[in-house]
Amino acid sequence: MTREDIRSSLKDVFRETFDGREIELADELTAKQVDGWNSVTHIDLICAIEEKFSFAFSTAEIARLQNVGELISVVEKKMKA
Amino acid sequence: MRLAVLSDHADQKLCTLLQRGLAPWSPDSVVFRSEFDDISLEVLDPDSALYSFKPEATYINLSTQAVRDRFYAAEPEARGGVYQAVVEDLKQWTAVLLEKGAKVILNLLPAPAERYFGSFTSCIPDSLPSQVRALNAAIIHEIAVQEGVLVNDINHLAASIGLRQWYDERFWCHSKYPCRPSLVGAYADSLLAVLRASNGRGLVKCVVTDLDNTLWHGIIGDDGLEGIEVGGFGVGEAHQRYQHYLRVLKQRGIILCVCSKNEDAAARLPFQKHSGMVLRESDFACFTANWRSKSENIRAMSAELNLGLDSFVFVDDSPFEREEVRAALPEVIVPEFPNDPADICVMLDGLPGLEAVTRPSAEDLRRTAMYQLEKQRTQMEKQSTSREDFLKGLDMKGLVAPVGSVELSRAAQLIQRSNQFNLRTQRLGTEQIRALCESREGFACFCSLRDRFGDHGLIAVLCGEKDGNSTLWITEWVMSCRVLGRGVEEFIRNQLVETARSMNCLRLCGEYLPTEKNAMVKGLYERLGFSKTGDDPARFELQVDTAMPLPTFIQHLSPQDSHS
Repeated sequence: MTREDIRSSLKDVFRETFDGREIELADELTAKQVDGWNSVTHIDLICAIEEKFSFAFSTAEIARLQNVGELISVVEKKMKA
Repeated sequence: MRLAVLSDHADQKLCTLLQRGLAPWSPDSVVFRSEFDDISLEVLDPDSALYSFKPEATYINLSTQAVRDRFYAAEPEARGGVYQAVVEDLKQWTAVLLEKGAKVILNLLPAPAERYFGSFTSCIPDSLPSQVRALNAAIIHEIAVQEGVLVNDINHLAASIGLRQWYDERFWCHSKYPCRPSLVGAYADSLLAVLRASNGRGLVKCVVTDLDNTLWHGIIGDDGLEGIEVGGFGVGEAHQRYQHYLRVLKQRGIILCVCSKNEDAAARLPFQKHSGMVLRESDFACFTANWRSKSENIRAMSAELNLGLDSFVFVDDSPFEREEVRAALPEVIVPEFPNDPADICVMLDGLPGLEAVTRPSAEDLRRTAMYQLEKQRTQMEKQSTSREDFLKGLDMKGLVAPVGSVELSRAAQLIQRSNQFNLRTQRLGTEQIRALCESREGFACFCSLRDRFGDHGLIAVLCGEKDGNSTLWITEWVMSCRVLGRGVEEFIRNQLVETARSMNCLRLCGEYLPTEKNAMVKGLYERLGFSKTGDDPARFELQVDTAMPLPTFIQHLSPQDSHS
């Protein structure tokens, strides 16, 4: 799975979590820049991503995710493992 | 519903789901979420945001993990007393909240995931699992015994899901989620069922059961008495357990009815002759075995028992019958029948309408018998030459008296259960009723009735308060629909006039607040001689000095007579 494949799958997850809104997932995008991306929806996102890609984030990874780029990197690493 | 949630862990998602879940039956619900982690601060400070919110119910939402934190923070030799410290907090908070007139809901906590010493952990009093178990026991035996305190059994929820599924400690570490985030919905539903029941919504009052392949295995008409199975081993055990389950519901005051497509004599045979049967014909308020459609029969039961169709559950193994009832009577709850009869009880367990919020009362135990007496009265009514003749012949004796400690729980229960004959649907709780009894300016009365066939018990509750203008306001009036058409309303009205006089009031004032279900009492006050007041179309008043007693056929008892 390429980074762009992951980005495109993540777009689906974001759309479902944020009530159908289309969000451009640039690498630099952070939670602060997205309306409704708060501590609650962050957990919803993490759970939805785990379900979509069938893996589990580690506690450290959950805490470390700062922006979309890092999220894609973690997913990429997990998918290779 | 004004609900306050005080949690020791992250509860934003829970509160969002609660808000959403309350909306369908209580559109103007508000959920208050404390901004502080410190529940003590919120509860013990009389000027806190909690009290300016004025909650009707406060949910004290503790987590096993927060108890665990306290456990590990304690010195090793003090760990055996951790549960006691939590209990002391809960007792103090509960007392303050009850004093303020709010219901209190406490969690029963799930067992912790960790057990240091294997099975033996539970035998060591100062282990964490033992502390959580002791905490739950203290909540059940020392706190939830008080009126106005309810529990949300998260322990059962987590156990039925499985603790390995329930906990996801990553999310506790990261953001203080007490369970796997995807299970917060089930967490909310569990509380919503308690809230709904405590508001008297969606309560199941009658279970209608099919017979063949439901109450027993086999078809009595084809297989005969020897061919059907109930009791013993195997599938017969499953059906017998369903009967035990129904009998427990009956003891709690839920009415049981039979609705079967059968010849009447064949349908009754197992009840009379089969040794494996737990239920008897006398356990049922209606026994219907005929070839008419089941919806038609259920509609007739609803009319006969005077119970709304939305308080009916229909249990039948036949998909055809379930569909027929669902299509004709959409209000009736028709659960899917399980693939295996061994799971019937699990299926019933899942019905939120069976959630109870009061302990079974003497009234509950007698409820079926009272409906059966009602049949005898109906019989007599048919044979009477006139309505007056019938009412006279009933030889009714009534009592209106202040609610005492004996009547308190039943009075609160009637207030919870009554939807149709309910003037203002205020759902006063025991604490509020007690406060009215103790106040000089208020009253809380009950009415009980008996006749030649037997005792109806406590059938109405009235509450009121006197204002500065010598007006006695009737703030609550609920009555059981079982005694409609007996002149009880007139009898109560006459007694109310006496009450108003004894409290030196010049006027009695009442109000009708419409709901989806109480159209029955829309014209009550006018029928009882009250007239509209001013420009508020919902309010009615009666001048006490000129009010003549309305004719009734109910003889008034004094409280002393009533105990004879």
